[in-house]
Amino acid sequence: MARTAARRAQLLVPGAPWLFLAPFLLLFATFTVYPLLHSVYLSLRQMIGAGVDVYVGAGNFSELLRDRVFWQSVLRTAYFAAGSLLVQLPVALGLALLVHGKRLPGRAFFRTAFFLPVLVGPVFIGVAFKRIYGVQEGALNQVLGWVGIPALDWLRDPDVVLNTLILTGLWMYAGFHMVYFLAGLQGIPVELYEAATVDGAGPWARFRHVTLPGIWPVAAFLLTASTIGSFGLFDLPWVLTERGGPGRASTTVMVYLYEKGFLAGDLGYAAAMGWVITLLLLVIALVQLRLSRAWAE
Amino acid sequence: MTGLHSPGAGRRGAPQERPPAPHVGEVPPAGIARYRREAMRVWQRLRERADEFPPGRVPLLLLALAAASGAGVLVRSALPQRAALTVWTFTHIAHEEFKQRLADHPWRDQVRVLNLGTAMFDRLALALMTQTELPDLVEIEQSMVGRYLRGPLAHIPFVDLTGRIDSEGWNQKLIPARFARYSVAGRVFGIPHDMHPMVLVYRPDVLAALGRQPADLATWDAFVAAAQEFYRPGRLGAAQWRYGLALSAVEGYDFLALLWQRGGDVFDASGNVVIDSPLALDTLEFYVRLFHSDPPVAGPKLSSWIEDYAALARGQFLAYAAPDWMLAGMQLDARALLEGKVRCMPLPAWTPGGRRTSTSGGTALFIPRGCADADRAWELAKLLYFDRQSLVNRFRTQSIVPALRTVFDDPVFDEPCAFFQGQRVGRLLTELAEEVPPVNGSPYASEAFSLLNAVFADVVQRRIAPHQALAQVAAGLRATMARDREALAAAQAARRDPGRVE
Repeated sequence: MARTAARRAQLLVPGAPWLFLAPFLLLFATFTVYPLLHSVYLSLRQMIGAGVDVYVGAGNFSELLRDRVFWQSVLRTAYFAAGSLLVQLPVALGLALLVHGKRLPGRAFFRTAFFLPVLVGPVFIGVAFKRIYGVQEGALNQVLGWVGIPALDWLRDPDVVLNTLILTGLWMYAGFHMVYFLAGLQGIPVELYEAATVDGAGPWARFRHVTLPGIWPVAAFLLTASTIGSFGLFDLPWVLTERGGPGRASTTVMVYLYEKGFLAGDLGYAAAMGWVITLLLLVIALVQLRLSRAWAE
Repeated sequence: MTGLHSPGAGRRGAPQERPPAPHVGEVPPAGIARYRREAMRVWQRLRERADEFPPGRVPLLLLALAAASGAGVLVRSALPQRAALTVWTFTHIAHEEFKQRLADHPWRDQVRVLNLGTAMFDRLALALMTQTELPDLVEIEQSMVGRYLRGPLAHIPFVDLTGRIDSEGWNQKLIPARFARYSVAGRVFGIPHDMHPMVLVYRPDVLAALGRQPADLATWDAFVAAAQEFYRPGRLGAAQWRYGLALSAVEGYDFLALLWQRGGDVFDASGNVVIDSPLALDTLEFYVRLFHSDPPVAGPKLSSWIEDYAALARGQFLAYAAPDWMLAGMQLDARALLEGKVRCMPLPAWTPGGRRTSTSGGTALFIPRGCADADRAWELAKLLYFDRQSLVNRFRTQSIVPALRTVFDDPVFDEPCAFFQGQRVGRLLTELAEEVPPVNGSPYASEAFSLLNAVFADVVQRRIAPHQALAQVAAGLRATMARDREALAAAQAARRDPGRVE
């Protein structure tokens, strides 16, 4: 027995915590740390074809600064992000207010119905919406025709296609944001509304002075998360607008990164692009955080 | 036998009582009973050891399972694989065709055909970079092949097939123009699958109403005149508009088809950029004029092929340029819309007596350099790509004209096609296949398509002039090629062999 206790102590003191952590650390190192470090390594190299790999130092980054297509894709993605936020968040908040209110019959059904698009894969949505957006036979143009609005070439007009993506994103993600807003709404004490009502506040005043401040932390989080998510947009333009077309009208940063990395075969350039996008997003997130704190105060 | 969670066992519990040793004088158990007793003793000792493991028996079991499965994976990967040839393809049709070809062949148990879909291209890039899990044969689509052909000739990761093709006479048996697409610096790396000649699918009743026959549309000038008579204005989405021809207003592939028909190209045979040549400029100016002439000749292609076919069926397009593979697609997807209403004719020529076709798309078979047995892979490639019956079946099901001209005498190409009003479309396609223009391959081909598509919508909408657009494309390509050359030169100057990924 004494021998067993001593042996147990030997096992327990030096190694047991690391043994517990080992599986996670191994996976984390393999699938997170190593790829990050390797991408830094790749960003300093230029890959030419499958068998040639040359050290270029900061060459990829200096090339990226001069790459007009890259910066245009950043602007395009920023437009998509801004448009999505301006459209999706208010709609999501509206849906949340609707299903949060007790007056709506079948609230549970509507909550589920609004959330369901989130579960559908972007690739499937791209394929299905291609039919809806058809210029001649598409359902959307037909409905617009009933109310006298001329048909739009949703997928092939360079001036319209980004807005098509924003519209599709609204359908896909409004329900997702609605769930977050719903959670925020449910966290606002009912007494605040009662107090506001007693003080003579109308519906708009209650929304402005009770609801908005109450859900602001959720909104701030969604602002940042949606911005980061928008910059990761790839599946939808790849399938719906056929690789970011027409031309480059819907080429987002991720589509361009994929083109450079996997179609042209220069993983080094794509890695450099990835790091620049990461830094950009970091700056954007910090600015948003500062602004949201200032607004909350 | 008790389980790990047997009551009273205790996670860090006291050791279990050992089974009593046999008393002196007792007869020891014999046979199976003896082994059972020994097994019980061993099991008891293991349980005692497990009890000494501080986290407990269950974590120990999980660790043991993880170690065992990890060891199993390592051992399995270290074992020599069953000798097999692996073929990668990216389409279900090709997968089924290859399996059918091998079904009665002695090699059927030695060949593994995998359909990896479009994910195959990325997986192949990874396999070529790491030289692991390489297939023995791989089918690659022409727009994707460029990324694998970049770099010095010595580093192209596919077997050079030039010698084999020349020595076995395949450059005579196959239509030689087709090799250009899969060649670099005169060396052939891919075996072409197809020719993909283009025709005009047209409405004979609509053409007759214009007082014309196909023979009257032998040149683009004649077609333009007929199309301008056919034109009617109308809003998008409405049924009133009519255009002579559907052309893409946002992507450059239709323009390239016209350029190739005319003998021009993006690259010359040496790989130099020639997209900004006078011939290419003239062709692009002609293309833009088709949209903006008074009256217009061409209208923009709609959002999908089905919408285009529906418009053709309604008589809103007079004609539609289609490669051979699209004819099968029409029969599959638009049978109700178009069957019995359309026929095929050659493209109008640029000059009287000139070339009456072009090409679009293409696939080829490559042998990765790191494969186990290139000679065996070559034999398999010939089996899969040059078998007469397979090529006949392929035409019957997919309308794809093979590059192997010795098959053209098969009766399948003379069968009337009810979809096209009984026309012998196969014979038309084989005649045109001989005229398919050579398209020079380049490692930068996909980059060229990308650069051209980026400016194309602006050119067609007249936001930029054709010469500016082509100059931009050419400059972009030359800059990319120069960057690659500089990087290679710098590496060589630093006395480092630009070998494999370190």
